[in-house]
Amino acid sequence: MADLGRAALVVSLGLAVYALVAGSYAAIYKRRRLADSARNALLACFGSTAVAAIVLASALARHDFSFTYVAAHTSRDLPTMYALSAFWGGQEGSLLLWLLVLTGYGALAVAVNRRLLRDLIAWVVPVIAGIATFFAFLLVAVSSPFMTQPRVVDGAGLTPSLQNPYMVAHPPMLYLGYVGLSIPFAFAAGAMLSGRTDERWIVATRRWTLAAWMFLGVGQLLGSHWAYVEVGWGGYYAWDPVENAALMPWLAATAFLHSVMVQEKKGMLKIWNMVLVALAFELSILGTFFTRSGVVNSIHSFAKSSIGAWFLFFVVLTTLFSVALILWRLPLLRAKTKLESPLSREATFLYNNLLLVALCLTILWGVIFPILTDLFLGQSRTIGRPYFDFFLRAFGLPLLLLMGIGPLIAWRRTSVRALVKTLRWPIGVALAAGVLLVVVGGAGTSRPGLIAYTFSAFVLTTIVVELVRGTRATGSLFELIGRNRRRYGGYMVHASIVLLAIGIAGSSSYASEVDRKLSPGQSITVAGNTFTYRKLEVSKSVNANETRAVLAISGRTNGTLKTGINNYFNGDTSREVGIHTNWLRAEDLYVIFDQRDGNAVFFKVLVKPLVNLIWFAGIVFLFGSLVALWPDAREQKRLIARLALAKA
Amino acid sequence: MARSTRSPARLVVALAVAALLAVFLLYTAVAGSSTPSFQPSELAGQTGTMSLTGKVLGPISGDAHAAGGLRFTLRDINPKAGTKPATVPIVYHGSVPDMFKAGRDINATGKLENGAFVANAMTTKCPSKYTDKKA
Repeated sequence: MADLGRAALVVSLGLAVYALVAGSYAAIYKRRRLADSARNALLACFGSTAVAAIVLASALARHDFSFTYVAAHTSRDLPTMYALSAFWGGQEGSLLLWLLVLTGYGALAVAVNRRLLRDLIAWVVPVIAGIATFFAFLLVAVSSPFMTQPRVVDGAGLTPSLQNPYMVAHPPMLYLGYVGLSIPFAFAAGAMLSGRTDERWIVATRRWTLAAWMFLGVGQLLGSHWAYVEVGWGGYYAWDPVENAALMPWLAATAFLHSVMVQEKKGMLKIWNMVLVALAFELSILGTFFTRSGVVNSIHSFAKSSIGAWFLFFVVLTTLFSVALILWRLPLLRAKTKLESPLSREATFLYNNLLLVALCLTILWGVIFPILTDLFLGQSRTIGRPYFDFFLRAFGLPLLLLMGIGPLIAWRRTSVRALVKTLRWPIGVALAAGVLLVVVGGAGTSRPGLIAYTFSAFVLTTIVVELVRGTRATGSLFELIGRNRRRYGGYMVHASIVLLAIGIAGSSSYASEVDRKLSPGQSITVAGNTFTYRKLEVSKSVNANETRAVLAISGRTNGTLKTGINNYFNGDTSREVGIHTNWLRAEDLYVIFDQRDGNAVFFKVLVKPLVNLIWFAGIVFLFGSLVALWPDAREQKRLIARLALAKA
Repeated sequence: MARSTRSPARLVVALAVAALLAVFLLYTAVAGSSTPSFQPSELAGQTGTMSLTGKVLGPISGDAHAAGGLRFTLRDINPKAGTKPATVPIVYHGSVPDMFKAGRDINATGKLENGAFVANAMTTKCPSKYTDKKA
């Protein structure tokens, strides 16, 4: 079986190289049949990669320990779900997943657009094939999942805290996002290579970008929720380089999704869009370099390997390629129109873009700072949470405000008076909310928290005003959303970001935390909740001794809560945090069993207001993204008309 | 539609904003909240708060919540070629993170005091996704 997998990958590499070389030749010399042949090679490349993927998945499901990869990443007692998730648990499997998704996405994108965008697709094929060649080469020559060894009785196991459904879904979601960004990049490069730099490539790839962006967003939230409920430190995001590696391309893609609207409507920001799509793609590759090379110090210690250097080489190569293309096509990319007023929707989108890119680059700076200081000062220095938190507030709060202004401000130009008139309700509600929070002390002493809540009220009101106006005009909310899914899906996503902002502000600025050693019968009061330590329960499971402390909660909330620690027989420990959720307040009472001393226990008690809005935001985000993604017959008609116009 | 005119002023303003941001970032990072990072072999003569990364060696003794603290030894993860990996005794006060045990890689923040590294914050690195049961 391993031979079949190896052979399939060699075939994939051959097909990718053929699609790259033949596709480039065909595109340069306008050889239509050869271009079709290159396109078919790309489709076949997906087929052969799928064969390799089936071989690996089958070996994982059968616990075939003659595969080195299977023996190193699974064990016989591992449930099938987790054994299969080992596909993306190790480096070699992750690379195979990357190639599978890339060729699958590529085949689909090329097949769907082959008639409408023939001249563009002729160049898109070799670009996707070029990326596929890189991954297929790594799988064949550097890091193969099909190495074999003498069969062993049992393989290595899975770290207990990773035996969690979140960890089954979180990595592939991120891969779907990372790899998905290759498609708009390939179309952008194809547009520049073919000289077709009108908005057709943007229209054709809008859904691809949106899907990749959605997967990246959902993947990150799944990872955050796993960290929150499983790792037991009370947080959900640590600004760790590996976490930031997923956030940065998401921010660049967010900027791109907004700026393409300006190009579609006004024909502006063409160069900027090319830069953004290249940036998002490069950051997705750079993230893999950070993760795999070990050049940055992360709490996620993936196995260090030599493929880091290959990824760095690929980042440099593709960056040079992108820069050269943009410089070459500058005359074609220059806008025919210019910004008419700083008070217009296109200007607001530009401000939004600058803030998103600034946030993205400041995070990148924080990630590479230790590398740069080591290189130039001879001493590595790391940047801590205050740096990232500062810039999140500095750029994030104005972004929140723009989210409310952008959808309501007019294209081309408007006056301050007209803008204030349009926004009178949101401004009124936001001011009232801000004053109310100050008067009742709801915002405590946190100024950023107060600003975040006020801006959130502003944005939510703009969304409500828009929905009310639209529903009045159409007579039905569903009819309204159905008529322009992209717009109203976007509003739902905006609402999810507001919920996220409220959740982050509430759970960080207004959280309470107390450490205390308690003996049975003793109590501790945190933020109006009294926790009384009742008793200790000790039991034995199949693979661990499980200790649980039972606490009664009274005061603002009533109930009981169990928190404890599992001491696995292999020496691992895992804290099982106790979480009591107050759904009305979206608040969590979060208790960590820190250390046992006889019957006494050191507890860490956290009260995290509004934290559940973060997870609820994830659901709204997913729903809004799906609404915006959903096929729309009206939009399709507009697209075909637009393409016909552009072609003419 | 208005025709575009190429204005060098726009480029100058954009570059000025970018330069200001870069200087501000540099200042914030260097003078603000950055912490030097070391491994045990690089600790000699260092003062002030620093970050230390290494592999935990047993025996692990003491109590992280008691005055004496939790005590163990930290060793270089990647010793320089041809040299013996350096070690340093650690005294830790605070919450002991999940997955902390001998053999794991950790990151601790603290100060060097009388030859021992006294730490008040510690994170255990997540082991590579799938690890050997015997590790």
